[in-house]
Amino acid sequence: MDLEVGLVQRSQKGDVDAFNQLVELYQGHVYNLALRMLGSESGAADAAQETFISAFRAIGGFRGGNFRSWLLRIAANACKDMLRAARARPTLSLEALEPDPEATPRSHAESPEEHALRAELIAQIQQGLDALPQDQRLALALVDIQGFSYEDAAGVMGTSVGTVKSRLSRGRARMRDYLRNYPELLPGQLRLDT
Amino acid sequence: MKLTKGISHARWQEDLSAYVDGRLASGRQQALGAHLSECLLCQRELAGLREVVALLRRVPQAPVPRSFTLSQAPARRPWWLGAMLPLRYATAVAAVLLVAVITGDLVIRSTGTGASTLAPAASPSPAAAVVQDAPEKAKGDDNAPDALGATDSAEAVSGPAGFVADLTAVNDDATASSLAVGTPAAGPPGTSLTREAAPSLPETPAAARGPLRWVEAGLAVAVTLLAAATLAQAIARRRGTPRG
Ligand SMILES: [Zn+2]
Repeated sequence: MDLEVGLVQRSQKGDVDAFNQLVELYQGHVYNLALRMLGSESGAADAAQETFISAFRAIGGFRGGNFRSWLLRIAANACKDMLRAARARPTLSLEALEPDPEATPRSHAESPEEHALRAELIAQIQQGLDALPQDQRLALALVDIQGFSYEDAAGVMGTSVGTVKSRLSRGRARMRDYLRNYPELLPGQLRLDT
Repeated sequence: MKLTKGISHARWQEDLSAYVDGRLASGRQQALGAHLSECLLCQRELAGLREVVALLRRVPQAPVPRSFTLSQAPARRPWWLGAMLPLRYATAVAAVLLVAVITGDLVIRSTGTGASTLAPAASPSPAAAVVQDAPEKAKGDDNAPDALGATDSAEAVSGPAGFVADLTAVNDDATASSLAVGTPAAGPPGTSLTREAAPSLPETPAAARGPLRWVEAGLAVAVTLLAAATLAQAIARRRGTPRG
């Protein structure tokens, strides 16, 4: 953490090398949040790049606190901007994320069949996420996929813990209803743990 | 286990999600636990939510497709870049006000002064006629203050000359506005504006039009400056390209 504080302070003085260390530290978080928000790999890459450019410009205004939450808040806003632009101009629409076994890391324990099934499952989950209102999607992406606490998620979303709770509740209930259409994909059928 | 009837399950639905995470206040956690022990419906809901959460937790972190480090420092945010959105709103509001003022001004004129407004800058005499025919409307016309305030104008001409001279001589407000728009960099108009406006105001009833004209000119300058600032921001924003 002290290392991070130092990097932030140097970045605030315009040190790009220090800032790039922060980029390398957090680009996985930023990219994956954007990936789940947008459902598009190329869109997520664009959003991630935009996030770090905006963050470098705005870091002078960062007044301490949780840097990761501050950064992901910028990322969430970048995603919202892109979704708004895609809605306003359908020709720019983000191409949907296809089930891509290459993009899904294969664990040592799985067979190729299990791996393909898991890629299919992730694509189905993404479709369920895409069908959620943005705020609920963000809550699920942060808490359930990225493992944030309610408090950290509230920091990213700029809202209260109570609001995070209710968005999670509604989003999870919708996801459950959505996934009921795909009983063959439910975890009991996957046996990933063996 | 029996399906409990007559109890509103809705009040538990919101709590079930937080219950999965163990994030209910302890009193509620216990109350919901007690309810769950005798409510099959809520048990099923809970099991469904747990399944969803387990599924989402299994979504792996995707590897980043490339590095997002910056090759050079993007242009830093100037102090006014944070005001991007407010500035746009301010521009829009000022532009709307300007149009409204000009429109109102034109309406006032066209309803009362007829032909004289069609050839406004031709000579001072039509304005004199207007003053006689329709004194009320003439309050909205400012040929009279030009004539009466001639000494002031003459003095002003020696200063930031063309600007003030044109503004006071030209009768058409739209023209005055466009002149003002074109001239903001020509000199310090603010000082000459007040200098010119102040003495002519109390001298004649027709000077009531004066403030309206200055409002229009001021708004036109504001719109121009705001629009220029907004444009500058948009350009500044595009700078700072990332490493490909
Ligand atoms: Zn119940």
